[in-house]
Amino acid sequence: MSIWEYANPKKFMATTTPIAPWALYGSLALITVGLCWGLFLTPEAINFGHSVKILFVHVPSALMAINAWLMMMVASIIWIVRRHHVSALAAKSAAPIGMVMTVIALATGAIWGQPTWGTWWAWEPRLTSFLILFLFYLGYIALWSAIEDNDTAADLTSVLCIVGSLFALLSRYAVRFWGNGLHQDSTFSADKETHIDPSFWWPSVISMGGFVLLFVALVLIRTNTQIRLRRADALEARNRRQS
Amino acid sequence: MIDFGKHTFHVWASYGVTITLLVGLVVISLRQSTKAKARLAEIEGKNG
Repeated sequence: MSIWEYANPKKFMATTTPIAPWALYGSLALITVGLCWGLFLTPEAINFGHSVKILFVHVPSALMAINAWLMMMVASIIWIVRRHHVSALAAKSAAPIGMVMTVIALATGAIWGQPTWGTWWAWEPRLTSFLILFLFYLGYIALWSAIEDNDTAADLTSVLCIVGSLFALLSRYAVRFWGNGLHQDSTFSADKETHIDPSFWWPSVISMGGFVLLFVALVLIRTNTQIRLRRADALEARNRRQS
Repeated sequence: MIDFGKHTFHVWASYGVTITLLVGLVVISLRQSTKAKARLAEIEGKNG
């Protein structure tokens, strides 16, 4: 069995339709547990006081803001190379989710910045690259809406997505590239020790798991929606030609 | 509402913004899905 079998819209829908609701329920359960744990059961931090509780919404949303774009980049490359419509529709479906995650990361970051840094906003590398990423999301969604021909829209948005991936990566590594900003380096990292107290570890991980699962569930639901709309448009066009 | 001292506003505002946007995203996605299913079923019904 090959993964490319799922490029067939019918096969994709048959496989993902039963999975999506369970992924959605699971994500909502994880987010509820993670946020309630973080909000009610974690202590004050020495440096941040109670404002450290913002970590449990800020870090997962920032994580997904970047990774949603990277998922869109992979789907866009698959579209360009293999011309599978499902991959183009998956990228299109992920964009609004990634944009909302970016808005959450920017908003919670500003709210956290006020008591921590004494300012809601600063033109420093991490914040500025995230704002640019948000503008790329807006541009990507606008481009899909502006072009009538679906294949042309998929081609142009794929190019935009690949170009924008540079900013998604810059958002991730901005603090390391230009270490003169207000924002600290990553709290979680796969290649070195974490900078987080054990009492904050589990609620953070559960909350991040919930955000990841929510992203997967919503991408599946929204991609299935796009496939149905594409099919409905095709049937209507056929009916118009016949009448 | 639990009091988080001088950070009460910041903590509740962050959670409020996050939960509102996430619930909005889920509700909009589910409503679009329901509408798309209904539209496709109607067109397929007309086509037999």
